[in-house]
Amino acid sequence: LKNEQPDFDISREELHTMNKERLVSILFVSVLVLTLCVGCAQSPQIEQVVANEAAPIQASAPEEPAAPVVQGEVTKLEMLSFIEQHLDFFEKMAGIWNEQHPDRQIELVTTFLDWSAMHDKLYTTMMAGEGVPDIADVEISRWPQFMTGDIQFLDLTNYTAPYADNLVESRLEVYSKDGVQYGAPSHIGATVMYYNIELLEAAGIDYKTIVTWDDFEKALRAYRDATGNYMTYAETYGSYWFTVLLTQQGKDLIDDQGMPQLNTPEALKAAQLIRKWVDEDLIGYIPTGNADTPEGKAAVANGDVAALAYPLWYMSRFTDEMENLSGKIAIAKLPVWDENSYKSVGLGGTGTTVYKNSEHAALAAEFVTWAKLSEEGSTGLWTDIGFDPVNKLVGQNLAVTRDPGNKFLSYFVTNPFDVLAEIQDGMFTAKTMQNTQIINDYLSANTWNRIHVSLEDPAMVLDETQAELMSQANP
Amino acid sequence: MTIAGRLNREDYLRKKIMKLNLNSPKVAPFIFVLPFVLTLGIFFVYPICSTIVMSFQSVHINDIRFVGFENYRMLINNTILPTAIRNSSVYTLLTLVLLIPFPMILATMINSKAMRGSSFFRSILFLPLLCSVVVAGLVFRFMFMETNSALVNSLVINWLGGDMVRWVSLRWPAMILLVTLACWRWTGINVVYFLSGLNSIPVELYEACEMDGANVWQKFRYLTIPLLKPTSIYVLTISIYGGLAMFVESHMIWAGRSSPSNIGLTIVGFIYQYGIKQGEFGLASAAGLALLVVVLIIVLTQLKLSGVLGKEKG
Repeated sequence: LKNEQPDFDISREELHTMNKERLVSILFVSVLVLTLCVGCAQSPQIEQVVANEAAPIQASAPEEPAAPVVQGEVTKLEMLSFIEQHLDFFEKMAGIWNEQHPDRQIELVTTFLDWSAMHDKLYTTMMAGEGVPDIADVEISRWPQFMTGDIQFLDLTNYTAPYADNLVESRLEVYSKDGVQYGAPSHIGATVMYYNIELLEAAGIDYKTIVTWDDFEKALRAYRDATGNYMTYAETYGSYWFTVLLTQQGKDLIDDQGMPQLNTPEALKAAQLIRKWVDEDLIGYIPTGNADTPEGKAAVANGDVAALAYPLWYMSRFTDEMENLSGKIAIAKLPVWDENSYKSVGLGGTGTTVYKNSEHAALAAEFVTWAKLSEEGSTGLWTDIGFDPVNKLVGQNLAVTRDPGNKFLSYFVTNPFDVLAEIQDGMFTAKTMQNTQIINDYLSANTWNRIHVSLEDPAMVLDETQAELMSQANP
Repeated sequence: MTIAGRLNREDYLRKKIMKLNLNSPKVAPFIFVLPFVLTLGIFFVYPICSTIVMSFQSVHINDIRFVGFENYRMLINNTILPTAIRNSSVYTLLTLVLLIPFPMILATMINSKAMRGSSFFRSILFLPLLCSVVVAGLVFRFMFMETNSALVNSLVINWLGGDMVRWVSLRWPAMILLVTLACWRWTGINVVYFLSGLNSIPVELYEACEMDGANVWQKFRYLTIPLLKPTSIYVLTISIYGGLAMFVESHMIWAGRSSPSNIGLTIVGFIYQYGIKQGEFGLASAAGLALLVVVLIIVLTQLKLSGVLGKEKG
C-alpha cells in the first residue's frame, strides 16, 4: 500500500510566502486594534487633523456645540451631499474661508451619495444618534420627514442674521418651521419659461408676444398647425406646470396648517387648463412624463419640446447636457392668467443643514451660512452651478450679471437676471410643510396619469386625491 | 485592587478557563453552533422582536410613543398597499412560471453528453449573479429607456415593427422589464441548483430507460422531472420568497422615487416608502410583520402540499 502521509516538505519559497502572509496579517490586526483604540480615545476636544485624510463618516459624540477653538488648529467638518457640484463648491469655499480665517481653519471631508441613499442614510444615522455628519444637504422633497419628532438640525436663525437684510425672505421660509430656520437655501428656484426660439420662429411664433395663458394657448395651436408637432407636453410625472398655474392664483398645495388642499376651485382651474390642451390635441407627452429625466432631457435636446416651464436651476441641464441648443434658448417670464396673477413661484431646492449635536456645530453653521448666503457665496453658487442667487446684492453687481465669460449668460439668448428683475416683486411663496412630500409623491404617482392619460374627470380625480391625501396626511 | 490581589484573581480565572475543557463532547457542540446562534440572534431574532414592538409605536427621532393598533388600522385602510401586494404577487407568479421550467431545461441541456462547451455556458449563465444589482438596474434602465434610439425600443421598432414602448410609465411594460431583469439575473443560479440535482440522479436509471426504448422527452418527463422534485421544491421556496421580497430592482429603475401609478411599487418598496422615505417606522414595521406572516403562510402551505413537512414521520 502506498504511504498516504501528506508531503510536509516546504520549499524555501513557500516559507518565505508564509512569513510574508503572517507579516501582512499581523500588520492588518495591529491596524484594526489601533483603529479601535483611536475610536475609543476620541476626545471631545478639537481633533488634530492630518491634511487630506479621507475618512468615512464617523460617530461624533453628542456634546454641546461651540467647543473652544484653539488657535492654529484645524477643525474637521464632515459633509454629506447628493450633488457633486455642491461638494466641489463647498470645498472651494472652505479654501477661501481658511484664507480669511487663519485662526479658525477647517478641513471639509465630503462624502457623495446618490439622492435616495444619501437621505436614507442621513435619516437613519439621526435616528440612531450615531455617525451623523456635521453638514448635510437635504433636498426639498425629502425635507418634511426631517421636520417630524425632535428636529435634529441646528437653529440657523442667528447665523443667517448678518445677511438677512439682503436675502429673498420667501426662500428662507421654505426651510423654516415655527419661525426657526433650519436650512440655508441654495437658490430662489424662480420658475420661468424656456423657449426654443429656433423652433418657434420656424413656426412663425414670437415668444415675446406671449403674455397670458390665452396667448400661450394660441401659440400652442399655431405651432401644431404650422409644424404638425406639439410645442410642449402634459407633465404626468412631476407637478411644475400645475404648481405654476395654481400658485399664480394665490393658492398653494397646502393650507396654513400644512394640510392638503387639492379640491379648491383654483386647483381645478389649473388642472382643467392642461386637460383642455390635451383634449384639443394641443400638447403631447414627454417620455417618462417629466423633462428632468434622461429621456425627458433627450426630448428637449432633440427639439421635441419648444417651450417648457421650469425653475431657473434647469439652466444647468441646458448648458451641461444640451450643448447643441446653445444660442437657441430664450428665458422669459411665465405667461399669467391676468394682471393680478403672481408672476412666478420658487420651486425645488436644497437646504444645507447643520447637525445640532455636532461637536463643531457653531463653526459649521457659521461656515455654511457664509458659504451660501453671503454675497460672495451666493455669487459663487451662481457662477459655478447657475443657481439664481438668494442674496439680492448679486443681482445688483453688474460685473456678475453682465459677465461675458459666464457660461450661463453666454448660452441663453436672454439674461436671466433681467427676467428675475421683472418677476421679483410678484413671487408667490410656496410652503414646504409636513405633508408636502406625500402630496407631491401622490400627484406624480396617481393624479396626473388619471387626468391626462386615462382622461378621467379632473374634478372627480382631484376630489378623490384630496380624500386620499387627507387620510394619509399628518396633522 | 492590589497587584497581589489582581494576580490571584487572574490565576483563579485562568484555572476556571482551564477547567472548561473545550474539547469535551459536552461543550464542543455549543462552541461550534455559537457563531450561528449569535448571528441568528443579532440579525434575525432581535430585529424581529424590535419590529414587533415598533409596530405598536409611533417612532420618530427622540419621540417614541405607544399607539396601540393605530399602525395596523392605517395599514388596512391604506389605498396603495393593495397595489403593492398585486405588483409583488404578479411579479412572483411570473418569475415562478419562467424561472423554474426554463432553468430546468437549460440544466438538462448543459448536463447532456451531447452538449459541447457546457462549462462555458455554465459560467456565462452564472455571470449575471456576480454583477451588482445596482449596476444591473442602471444598465437595464438605460436599455429600456423611453426613446426611439434606446436598445430595446430600437429592437421593438425595427424588428417587430411596433411603436416606441413606454417601459417605465405603463403597467405591463414595466412588469415585463422587471421580470426580464429577474430572468437575466436568476436563471444562472437556478441552473446551478438543477445541475447539482441532476448530478445526484444515477446514470444507470437513464441507461435502463434507454434499454426500454424511451426517447429524450420521455426520459425528461418520467425520470428527470420526478427525480428533481426536491431541488424544484427548494427553488420554488426561495423563488417565492425572492419574488415577494423584490425591492432593489424597482428601486434602481425608478431612481428611488415613486413610480407612475405605482406600477413599480412592491411590498418591500411600500415598507421603504413609509419607513425610510417618510420616517413612519411604526407603520413600516406593521407592514413588514404582515409580509413576514404572509410569506410564512404561503411557504408553509406550499411545503405541506409538496409533502416536505412531516416527511420524517410519514
